[in-house]
Amino acid sequence: MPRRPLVVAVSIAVVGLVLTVASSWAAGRVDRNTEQRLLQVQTDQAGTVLSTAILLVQQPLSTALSVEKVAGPMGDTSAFTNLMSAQVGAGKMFESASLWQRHGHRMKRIAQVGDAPLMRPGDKTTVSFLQHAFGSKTFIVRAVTHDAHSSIAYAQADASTGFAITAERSVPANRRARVDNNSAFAQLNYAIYIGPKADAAALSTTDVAPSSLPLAGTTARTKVPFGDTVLTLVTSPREHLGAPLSQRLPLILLIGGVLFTAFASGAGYQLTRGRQAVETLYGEQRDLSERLQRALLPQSHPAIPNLDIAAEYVAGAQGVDIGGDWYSIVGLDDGRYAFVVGDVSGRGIDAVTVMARARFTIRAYLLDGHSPAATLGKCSRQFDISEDGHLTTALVGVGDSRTGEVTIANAGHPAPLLVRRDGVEFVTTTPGPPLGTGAATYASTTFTMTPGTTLLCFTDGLVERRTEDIDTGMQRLATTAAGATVSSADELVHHAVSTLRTDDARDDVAVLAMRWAGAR
Amino acid sequence: MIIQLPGNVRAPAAAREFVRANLEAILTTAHQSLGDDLALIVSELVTNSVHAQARTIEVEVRVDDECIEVHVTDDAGGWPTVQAATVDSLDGRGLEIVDQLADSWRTESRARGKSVIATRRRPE
Repeated sequence: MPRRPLVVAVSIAVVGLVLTVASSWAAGRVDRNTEQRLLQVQTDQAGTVLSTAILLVQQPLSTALSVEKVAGPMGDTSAFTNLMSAQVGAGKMFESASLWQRHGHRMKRIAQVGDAPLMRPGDKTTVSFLQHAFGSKTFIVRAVTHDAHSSIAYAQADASTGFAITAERSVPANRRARVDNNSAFAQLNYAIYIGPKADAAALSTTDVAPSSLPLAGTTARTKVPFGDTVLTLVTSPREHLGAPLSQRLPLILLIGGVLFTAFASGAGYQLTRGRQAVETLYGEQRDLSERLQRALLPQSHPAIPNLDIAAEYVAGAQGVDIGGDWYSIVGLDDGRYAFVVGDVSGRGIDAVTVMARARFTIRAYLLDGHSPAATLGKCSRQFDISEDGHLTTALVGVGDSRTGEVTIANAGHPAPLLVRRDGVEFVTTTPGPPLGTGAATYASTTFTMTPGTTLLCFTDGLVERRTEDIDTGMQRLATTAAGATVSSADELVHHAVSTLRTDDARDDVAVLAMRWAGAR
Repeated sequence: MIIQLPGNVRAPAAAREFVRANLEAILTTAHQSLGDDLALIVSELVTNSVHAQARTIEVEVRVDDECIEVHVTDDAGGWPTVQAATVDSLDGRGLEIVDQLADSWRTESRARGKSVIATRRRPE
């Protein structure tokens, strides 16, 4: 199947991009999970820090309450005033602190330090706030807003003595504070809400513009107990919390993957195109060799009286290199004819050129009237394996179409087969050395064909098999020819080739059959 | 296959080419080195025959599914012997090479001259 370069390139690109995107996405997901985990850890730490900060709020209140338990019954409020003065004022914990005493349902303020508190005596909210404080075991918290001022009010009460202490801490108008410049918050944007919900109304403090809330992107939250309520801490990372590589990995993978894919795709394209070009070249070369060889084989057979001629050449299945097998038949004077079947050893253009030389040299001598043996003898002086590296076997014959007489000479070639109506036999020849091995003399063999006899000449490709001796192959040819019911040379050639030739045969084959019909 | 070669200087090359051409069609590409070994064996045996003044040398390749045999028959006198060639000898190694490369080899007497037959097992 031909692979089109573009298809290969696009396939590689698609697979590469899918893998790239998948790995990039996976790396991104791992990074996000890591971020979320790290953020949660930091947020929990920040929550712990926040809960210690709450102790700082609670402690003065409970201390003052304890003091009042001792001094209060005598009506002495100086202890409270002294104690809370240290905690109240600009830059301190509270802006104001008040000491209250319960009389039935009424709440009376008996001392006050610092600014005027937003919670004024007699207000319904103040009363309910204090009553709530008496009902609570811990301190209580309430956001108080009056005019433009916002405060967080704290209250702690002691039901056994009837004393209650409130304190207020103002919230900046924009609610922004660099609260707790603590390492736990260093990498975080945060928003602290009073109560369990992260509502804008419940916002206590944040380090970002309140209008940009709620925090977007990766967020984490934790709740910290805060008196009778909780603080909700919501955070988002100000910067990447994990390793920088983890953050950049998806991008690195994406860019690297795209570059690699582009490279692989380009390389695939080039390789496929190169391969295609080589395949084309290979095909052209084989085609060229085969055309050359076929050009050297006879295009048509001469018309010789009483002689039915058929021939076939089959290229071997061994790569681009073609063999040097050939056949040739020419008409001579007086109804005589000459024929040759030969085989040049080796393969490729070199073998074909030696074959061309042998074919035309032998033919020239035969046309000149030389006998087969003389022709081979003369040729033996003209071919030299030490010059061209090839060995040529040939079976040369001259026949008479009027008498059926045939004379053959053999230069190292398989003997031809005589196929008669009543049986087959190989012609007994006296093989001489192949051409190329030096000057030699050759012996002739003469026999007479009976009418209807076919002389089958062939090259060893027809009888060779991988695991058999050539004698076995020759015997198979004889059996095949004997078993055939054929009425023409053409049928015999076709039958022999199709029966004996296997598809994977490596050697090429030339077969020439001459059927003598008898004199008329 | 069998060929006859005149006992001249071209005979070793012709014998090599004959064996190579025959085995090329028989051996798969992966086992061509076996063909090279057999071509070398035949080349050495034919060289010996030429040295022994043989007039005609016959080379035959026989194959079956287990073995490949090469037969080199000549009409010369003398009998092949393995010589102990010294390190720097240029010749006299023929049968030593055959002995190394062949799985087995033997010599048979003929009416005129003798045959040397070397065998190699075929690869699985």
